[in-house]
Amino acid sequence: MTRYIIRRVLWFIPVLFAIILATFVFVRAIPGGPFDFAGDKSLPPTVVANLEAKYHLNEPVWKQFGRYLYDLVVKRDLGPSYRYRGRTVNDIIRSALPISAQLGALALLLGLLIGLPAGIIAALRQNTPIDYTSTFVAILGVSIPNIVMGPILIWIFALKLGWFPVARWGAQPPFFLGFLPTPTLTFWKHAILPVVTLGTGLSASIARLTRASLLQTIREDYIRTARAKGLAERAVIVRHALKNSMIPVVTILGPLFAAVLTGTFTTEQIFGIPGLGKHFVTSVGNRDYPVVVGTTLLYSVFLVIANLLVDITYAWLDPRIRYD
Amino acid sequence: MFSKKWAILAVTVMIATLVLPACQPTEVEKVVKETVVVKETQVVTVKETEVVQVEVTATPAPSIDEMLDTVGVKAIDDSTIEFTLENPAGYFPAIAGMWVARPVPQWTIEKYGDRWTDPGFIVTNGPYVMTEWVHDDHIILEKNPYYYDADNVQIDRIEMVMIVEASTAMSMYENNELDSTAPPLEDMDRVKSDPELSKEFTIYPSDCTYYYGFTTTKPPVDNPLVRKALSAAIDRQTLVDTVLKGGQQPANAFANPLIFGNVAGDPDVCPWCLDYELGKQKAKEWLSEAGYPNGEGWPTDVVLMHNTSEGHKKIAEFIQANWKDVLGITVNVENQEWKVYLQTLKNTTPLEDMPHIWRLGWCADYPDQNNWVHEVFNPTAGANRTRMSADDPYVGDKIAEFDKLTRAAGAEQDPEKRKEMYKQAEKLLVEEIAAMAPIYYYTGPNLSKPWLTRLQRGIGGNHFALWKIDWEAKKAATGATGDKVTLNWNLGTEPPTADPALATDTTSVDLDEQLFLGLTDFDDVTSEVIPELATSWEVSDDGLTWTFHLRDDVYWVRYDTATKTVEQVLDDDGNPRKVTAQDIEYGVKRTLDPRTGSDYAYVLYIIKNGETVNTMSY
Repeated sequence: MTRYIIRRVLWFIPVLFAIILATFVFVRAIPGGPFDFAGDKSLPPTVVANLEAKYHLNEPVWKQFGRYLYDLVVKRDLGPSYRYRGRTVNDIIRSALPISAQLGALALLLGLLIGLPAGIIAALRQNTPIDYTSTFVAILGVSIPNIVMGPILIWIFALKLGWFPVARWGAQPPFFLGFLPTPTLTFWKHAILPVVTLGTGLSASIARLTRASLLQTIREDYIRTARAKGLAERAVIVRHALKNSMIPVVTILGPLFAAVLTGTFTTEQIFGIPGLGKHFVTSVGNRDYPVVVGTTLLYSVFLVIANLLVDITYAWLDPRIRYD
Repeated sequence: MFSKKWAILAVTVMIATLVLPACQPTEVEKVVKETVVVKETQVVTVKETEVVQVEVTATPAPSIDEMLDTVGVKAIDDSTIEFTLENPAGYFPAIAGMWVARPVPQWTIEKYGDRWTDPGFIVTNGPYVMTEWVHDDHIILEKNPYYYDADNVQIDRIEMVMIVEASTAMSMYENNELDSTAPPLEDMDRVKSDPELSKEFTIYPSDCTYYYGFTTTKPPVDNPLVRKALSAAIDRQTLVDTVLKGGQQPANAFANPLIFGNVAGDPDVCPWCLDYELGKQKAKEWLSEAGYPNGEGWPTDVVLMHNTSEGHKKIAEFIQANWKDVLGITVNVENQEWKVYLQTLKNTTPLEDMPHIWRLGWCADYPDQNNWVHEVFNPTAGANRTRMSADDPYVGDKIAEFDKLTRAAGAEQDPEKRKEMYKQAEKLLVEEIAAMAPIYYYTGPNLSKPWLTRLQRGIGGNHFALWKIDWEAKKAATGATGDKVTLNWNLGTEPPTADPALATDTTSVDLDEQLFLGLTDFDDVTSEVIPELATSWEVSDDGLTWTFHLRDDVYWVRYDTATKTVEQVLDDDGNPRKVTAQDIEYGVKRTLDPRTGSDYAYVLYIIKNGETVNTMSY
């Protein structure tokens, strides 16, 4: 197993290299550069040239790429932001990622806390009112996008009932250990609506997948065998059915984990949360090349690590899976 | 890629031609012997020459620093600053107050570099100081007790959040978390009908114009009759009433009503833009005269392009329907992502890639027609995306006249004469040449709480220092506590910078307006140029030298994050450091220094050698 993990980690290097290279080249291929215009006013060519020279954009792309890799590997520097003058990509990630991660982790937790039991109960009580209710709610959760759910929750719980503030995040840097918020009452008051918005959508997907997977597992021969040899129903479900049915769920949890922890554009935008989600989107429009590459790289790192964890979990869930 | 290579090649060849011969020995004629002789009746000097080889050394090009010394801005003494211009410019006082020309603290910038605008470092002189900036979340400003007019500043603290989503800002407003907001379009009908909200609703004028430009060299819109017909067939009032709903003003000319020299609403200018019945009739006549009676023979590939946005799409579809109904013609509506779109609209784009008709807006950098008809449309000195040229087969003479007119109007000192010239220019632009179709003047729909007495946003930004809050009323209604009169404001987005030299967007400009004073400012309502740092100014008879006299009671201040107090910055002798003419000279030169990387430096090109130094390579 250790050898497998080391091999996988070594594979990260070419994968991430390819991602950086592709992003780096493609983003520069989009028409329009970061400094061609101030608003919609075109700038004199010499001024554009000076600004490009300042950020080495006048150099051939291979040279820019070399410079970028050098700064990244040697100085762990993701470069300056072209849009937010005086801030670096490291600054942006340092302040925005912890907030996105706090929101994402809480939402994922909520998604699992609701989604798993709901899916399991629905599967075990297939074709009963509990199953129908659970499936209906899950479909509703999947179908209502966050852009609708967020404003509805704001309208009910902030405007009409006055229980929570409308928007914004209740914690700000510096954080404990760099990412943990102080769990004050203000923090929770601000966190609940966005976490519920994001979490319900996640729980719905998790519930549906859990139900479908568990239903399939329950019909397997080995479950019938387990029942036939007189095992208690509880042991059949928990030890045999549930564990095996988790493989598809764990598979989607990997990318989900990477996606929600690095920032969710819509939820953050609706609740005015200063997370990383907006930078993924706005940096492309601004042609803020270093931010585009930096955020993409960060997401990729989360993704490859999450996928490795998923693969390791497979081995634990299904003893037949062995990597060595 | 290729264009860059060509550019590099061209520059190399240019340098080679300029520099190489100067470094090599050059053959010159040298007088070796002079003899005075009498030739017939005259005394003449006979020179004998021979060709000799001499070494000629090239004079080194001046450095950026040397060129900066020649820029036309000079502190005569602590309280007098003099500007020398390239050409006379009646609008210069408006430029002198812009953010890129503001005094900035040289010693702080040199000490902290790019980080000089961080709270704790930043040194300012305006009515407020920045005490906190949590990026992408909020900025807190506190009143500057040393501001010269501090006694009249009532609001002690401004809490600025950065909520991008308009509907969230609206909810925060309704929940008393914001004192003022712009209602989103989808809430407009509700706001107008709600008994409470409708009382809090105001429509302020705004300094932007929405227009369609024509590519005047591309058939069929190369014919001015076609352009006039398209412009006349737009039902501007119905567009405002049914699509935009924000009380916008239908436009009959380019410059917005807040701009000096504007002719908005003047019945002499483009009457058919404002009278739709007349417009429809004229449009049909003109299109018929152009050879497309009832739209017959109209090409099928005419493109109306806008940048990707739901709002622009709705407007384009409305106007597309107008043209179909009135003129019987079809145009294809297309869209492109913003930066790609701007690239397409460059006047160097090959004609086949250029749309026939395209949407743009223009907002004031400074409230003068020079920033409008001249900088945007002048065929030789402006952006000229419409590709007007004096060689135009239809209206070349009018274009040449327009060119001369906007140049002369900029140089003219007499305000009344300038207004008349700009009126003529506008008539040419929208009626005769018809290079663009003005559509509407933007407005700022606003909701403000009853306890807030506010002004409209001025051209250089909001003047929070002039706003008032009935603090007892706000406390009673919102549960706010404490003695500090606090304004809760939505900046809308993270300001990309607080550095006046680097600001290019309204959010940054709004922030700078609170922190840094300009020589002049603009009245919020009339947008006239008014004194700020300068108490008075005069211009020389030739219109080239402007002298500004400064207040002597403006101090540099900083916020101490440790003691949480605003303190004055002291000079070497321990006295409070005043804002001087030298600080302005430094600010202007810093903006023009190409190493600063100021996108907006070009507005200062009117200053002598401004363009020369700003366009130097380094």
